[in-house]
Amino acid sequence: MVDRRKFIKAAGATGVAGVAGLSGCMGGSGSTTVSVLTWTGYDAVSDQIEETLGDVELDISVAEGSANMFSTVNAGGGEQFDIVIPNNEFVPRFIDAELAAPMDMDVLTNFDSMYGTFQNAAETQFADGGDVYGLPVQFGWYAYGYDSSVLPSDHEQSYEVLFSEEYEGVDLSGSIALYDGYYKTIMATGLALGYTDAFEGDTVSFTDEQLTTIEETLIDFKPNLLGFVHDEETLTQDYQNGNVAVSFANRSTHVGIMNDYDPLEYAQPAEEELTWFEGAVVTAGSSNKEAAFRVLNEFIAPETGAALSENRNIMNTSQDAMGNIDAPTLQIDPEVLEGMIPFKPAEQNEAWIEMFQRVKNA
Amino acid sequence: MSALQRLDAAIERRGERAKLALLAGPGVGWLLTLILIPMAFLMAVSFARISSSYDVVWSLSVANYTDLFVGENGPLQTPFIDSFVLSLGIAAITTALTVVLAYPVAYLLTRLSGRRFKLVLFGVLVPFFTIFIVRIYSWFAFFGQSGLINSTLMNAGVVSEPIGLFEFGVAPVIIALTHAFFPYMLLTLYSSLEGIDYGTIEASRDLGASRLEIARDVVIPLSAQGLITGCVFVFVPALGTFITPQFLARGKITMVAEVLTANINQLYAIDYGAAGSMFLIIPTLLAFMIVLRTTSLEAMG
Repeated sequence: MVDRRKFIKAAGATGVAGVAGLSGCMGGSGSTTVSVLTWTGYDAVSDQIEETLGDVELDISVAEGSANMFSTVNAGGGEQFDIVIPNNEFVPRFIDAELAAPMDMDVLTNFDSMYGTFQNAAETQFADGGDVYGLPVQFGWYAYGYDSSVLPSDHEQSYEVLFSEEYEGVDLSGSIALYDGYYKTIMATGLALGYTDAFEGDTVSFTDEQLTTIEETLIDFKPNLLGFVHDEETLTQDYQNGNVAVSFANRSTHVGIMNDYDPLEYAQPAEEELTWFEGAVVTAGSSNKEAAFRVLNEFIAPETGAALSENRNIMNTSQDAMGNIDAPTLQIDPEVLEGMIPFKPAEQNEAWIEMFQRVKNA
Repeated sequence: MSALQRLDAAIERRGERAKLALLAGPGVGWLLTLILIPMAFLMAVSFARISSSYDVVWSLSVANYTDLFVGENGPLQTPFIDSFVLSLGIAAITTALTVVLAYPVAYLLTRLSGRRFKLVLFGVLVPFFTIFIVRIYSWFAFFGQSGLINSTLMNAGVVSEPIGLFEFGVAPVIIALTHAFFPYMLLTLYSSLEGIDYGTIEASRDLGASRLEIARDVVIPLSAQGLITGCVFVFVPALGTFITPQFLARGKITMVAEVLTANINQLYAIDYGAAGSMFLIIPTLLAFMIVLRTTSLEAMG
């Protein structure tokens, strides 16, 4: 039988342990919990950031795409997440919905180390009424990869390769893979057709005639495609099995494949690469804005930014971070950034989606 | 009946009701919480609209249904209709193939016993102890211009160039789905065939019926309940399949679940998705109604 004294002692100890545990959840150690809604891979630098900042804990959630991030934050009034990191073309939507807080440039001390292209992007695409609302964190681009044992490296690099049964004497029929996503594939087709004027405004806007030609091109060429792919694993197998010779997809996808398949190279097409970057936003409803800005500053810090990039196989917008990266596949010539075409919202988004579905069902 | 007796009877009746409520309560609660309420919400959203800031606007509208059926080029010319028809076709062929392949195996199982029965059953079912996606992915290496099938045929000199049938597309999807859903058909057919009195088959044989006539006039009618149930168990998941065409058609076709997912993920068009989902639910409900009207729970195994 348990005597009263022992019972009280045990109950007291349990209570103390409970309170201690609870205070830990509430940030009882004096730290602020910053919640982040983002893509996979950011959690790899959580410990590093927490150690560097000392008084911040990160709570990272992963969302399935930028639209999902917007709807999640919008549904909750922007209070449940301090930081959201959608793709750049979604940041203006956060600004329009008044879900983004203006950046505190005094805290973002690493801003000046970013490539000029991205500083400029922040001050234009992410700006409104004189304030900047987003911070470019990581970036990559879409062009095409190719098996150099099939298509020589000295071929004339152009998106036209993606729509050629035969290119410079090489039979590509049935061994071309396009990206399984309407937005990127339609833009690449537009570029291959020479519709560069569609990319000049704040949005990507094809004329009806251009859209019809893009659809016809995709449908006519579909029998020559291996298919539409989006994941690294199946594309890796395709290259290893000799199913594919050319593939239009994200550079980071190809970088991942290069580790398993040596002859794979990534092209620099004459029409320029389609560039995306992740634009971090501190939510207007955040009650931890100061801590959130310090976390953002770490994402582009020389060491943390480099670690983030190496973990995700994606380049960092900070030159200093890029300077700390050893992986050969992440080394870039800064000149490549000059002509890049940034992702912008599609003017006829719904029509693009419907058209892509028609193409796939044709 | 005295007042006391009436009171006793009332208490007894109330006790029965309480017992019934206690037994049925958790099941009904489960059904309400996890099926009926979400379904009712889905149906409500299918008549609502999503604003540009992704809020649900609760106004009664049939616009989502119109979007499903009326496209830029006219009525019934929409990606949804194309995908729905394609999905119905793929699901129907898959179901037919599983019937053709599972019937003889199920029949064989009923004729075996002891160790041989266990061996055949184990041999047939062991691949299905892996998860669905692994089973689908295992077919990946077989297809394509340089896949195992085409390479083997070309190396053996049977063909000089890859056969289109074995390239990524509709055929690999049907083959993989048939393989994936084969056990559903096999087990329901076996359960039904096992209940047949084989004296009737022997009697038919004695009366001069051929093997084909026995199958057509005796075995199939007597196992019809299992056949219908098996068809439902295969057709319904095949209709809503999502991952298989992504792997094995390499995105060159779009089944109906992919159309709905694309609209939800890319446009956050949950209203359109909800309306489209109704057309996946309707064939499912119809199929279950057919099963409930034609078969008993025992026949469902």
